[in-house]
Amino acid sequence: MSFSLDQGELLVVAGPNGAGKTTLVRTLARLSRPSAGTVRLGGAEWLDAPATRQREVGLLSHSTYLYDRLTALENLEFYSRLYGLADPQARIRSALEKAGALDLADRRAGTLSRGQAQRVSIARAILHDPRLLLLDEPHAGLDPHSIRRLNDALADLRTAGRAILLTTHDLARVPESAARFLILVEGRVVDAGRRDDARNGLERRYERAVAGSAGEP
Amino acid sequence: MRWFPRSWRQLWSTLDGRLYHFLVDVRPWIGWFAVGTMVFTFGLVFWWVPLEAIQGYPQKIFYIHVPSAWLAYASFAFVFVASILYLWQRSRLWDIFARCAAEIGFLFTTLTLVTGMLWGRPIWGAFWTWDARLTTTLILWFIYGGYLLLRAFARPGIDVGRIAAVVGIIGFLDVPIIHMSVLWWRTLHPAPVVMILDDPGGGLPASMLVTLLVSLSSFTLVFVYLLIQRVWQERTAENMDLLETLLDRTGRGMPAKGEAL
Amino acid sequence: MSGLGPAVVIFAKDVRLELRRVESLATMAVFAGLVVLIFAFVGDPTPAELARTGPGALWASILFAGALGFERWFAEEERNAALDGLLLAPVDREFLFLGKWAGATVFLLALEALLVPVAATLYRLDLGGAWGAFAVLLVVVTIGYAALGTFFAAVAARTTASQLLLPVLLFPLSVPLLRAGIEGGQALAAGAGGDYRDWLGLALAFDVLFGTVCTMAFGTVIEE
Repeated sequence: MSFSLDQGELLVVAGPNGAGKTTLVRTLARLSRPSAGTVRLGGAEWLDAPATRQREVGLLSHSTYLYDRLTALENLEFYSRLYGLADPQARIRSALEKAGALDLADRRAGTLSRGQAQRVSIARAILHDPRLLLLDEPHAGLDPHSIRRLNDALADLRTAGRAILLTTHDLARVPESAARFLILVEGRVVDAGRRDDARNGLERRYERAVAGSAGEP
Repeated sequence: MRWFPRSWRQLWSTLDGRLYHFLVDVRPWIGWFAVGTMVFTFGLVFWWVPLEAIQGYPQKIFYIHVPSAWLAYASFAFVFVASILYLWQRSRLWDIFARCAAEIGFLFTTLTLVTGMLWGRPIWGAFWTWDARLTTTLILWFIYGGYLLLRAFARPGIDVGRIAAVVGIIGFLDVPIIHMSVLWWRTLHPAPVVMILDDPGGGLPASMLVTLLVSLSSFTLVFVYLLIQRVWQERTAENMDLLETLLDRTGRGMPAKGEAL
Repeated sequence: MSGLGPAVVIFAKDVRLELRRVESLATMAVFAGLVVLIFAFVGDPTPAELARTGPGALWASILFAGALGFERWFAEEERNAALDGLLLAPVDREFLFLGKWAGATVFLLALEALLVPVAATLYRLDLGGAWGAFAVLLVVVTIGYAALGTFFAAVAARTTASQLLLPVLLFPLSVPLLRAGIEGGQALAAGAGGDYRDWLGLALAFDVLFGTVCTMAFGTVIEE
């Protein structure tokens, strides 16, 4: 596959399970090495860049990357220190607020429900204000209210010029403002384009893409 | 390796390929040579070399035990070098090489321990004594075992070769230190029965030395033959798997000449 | 962050986590204490026998408790894939290792602070005025053991039989440290200062060599 993503752009990567969405996200976050290919971030070679450049990406995935016995606040304090952030308290408050998890600050991460933990994890992902935010099926486990809040937060980030890549297998929850999409099936991009028409167009293309792959020998 | 001249880098990157193919071609010759020298060794040990005065017949295990021990340790050196090369060059061949050398090394370490025990029983009445070298060999056995278990139990999907390579390097670096500490230990508190594994007192008589060297060569040839054989097997198996995966993915048969997969 | 900063942050986080669940450290202490106890039942509690089994009992309990601990302290990073969280951070992998290593060392030393008096009492171990020198040896050996232990905990975590593989890989390679601890202690008891220094030197060299190798190799192990 080959694609590009601009500042302030939201790219939706849709595909059924096993399509390679998580692998794509992990590769971009440099948690996995690809066997071939190049990635450029901010114009510079990315895959072999020094570890200090990791601050340019943020990742939200199925795992929360939280320590169960620390409170949400302590978890975020840990990450803010690790990232060497200035004025950590203010940033933590802001991130928690955007994620709608301010009330969970003093709760131990292990006591949180899936949805609550997900919200704290969102705060963790945006805490260091990455240039590229990678979201792997972020809407899983969230109630509609939280989904709307997440989409609002994403819109704010886009306005601030951050690039966002979001994967999903459920198109109903994709933010309205998503203009571009890729459809991934079994590791290949089978469809791509801009979503300018109604949602139906995208869904129909998605279903066709998924059905098409099932028919292949 | 950015600073290597282009031509050098090319030589390096194809060196493992050339080496591999050379060894595979030479393999049958080594095999026959190994058989020949083994037979010759057998003859020397049982019909030529004189019977040792104090120990008698059981002493002849010495001619199996010592070469086995030598190869058990040399094999680990192979694992060490192959591990470094794999981390450096990322060529699959070195990973296969390391794994096979470890397997064969494990085999020879077991042989060393068993022959050591078989030798000890008639001589000292005990299957095991905590002699420094035997102890270190036992620890080596466990290190090999751990290395092979690591490869066996690795989570699917991860590059176990790189992790095993690191473990192999650490293990190899540790063996001399282990030996030193065990040696100090056993010299500080010598056991009541003093081990005379190879030297009856004074130097080795010429005939025994010759027999030992012949035995050593034959064992080394067997080792090399086994190693090439195993590497060849594993390399072929990996290539087959790769081919299978590629064909599965496309869902068609073998591509026509010139056709892209 | 520059310098050792990230390592300190991780170390502090580990200490805080450990303090949150004192019951696990207590469990380890009880287990180690039991090992020390059981060794006493191996032979007769005559002064000569005790003096012989004592050091072995102490060091064996440290070894076993350590193996339990390393697995546990690394497992914390496995839950919720927190290790990936660390890999996402702009921190060199070497510093990740240094932080975990420091934590393991400190926890193990805390355990030993309890174990040594217990073993010394039960086995009537007497070092006269040389307890300071023994403490030095203890610290040096613990640092080396913690390096190997933390490293192999990460290696074992990449397998499906991590609890089996950690001891299998760790123990044979730790033999020099075990020997140094026992022999060094016995040299002190016998007043053999030269021998003690030899063993301390061995342990120090071990620490430097494997501390370096493990730090450098950690990235290879935890990255995919």
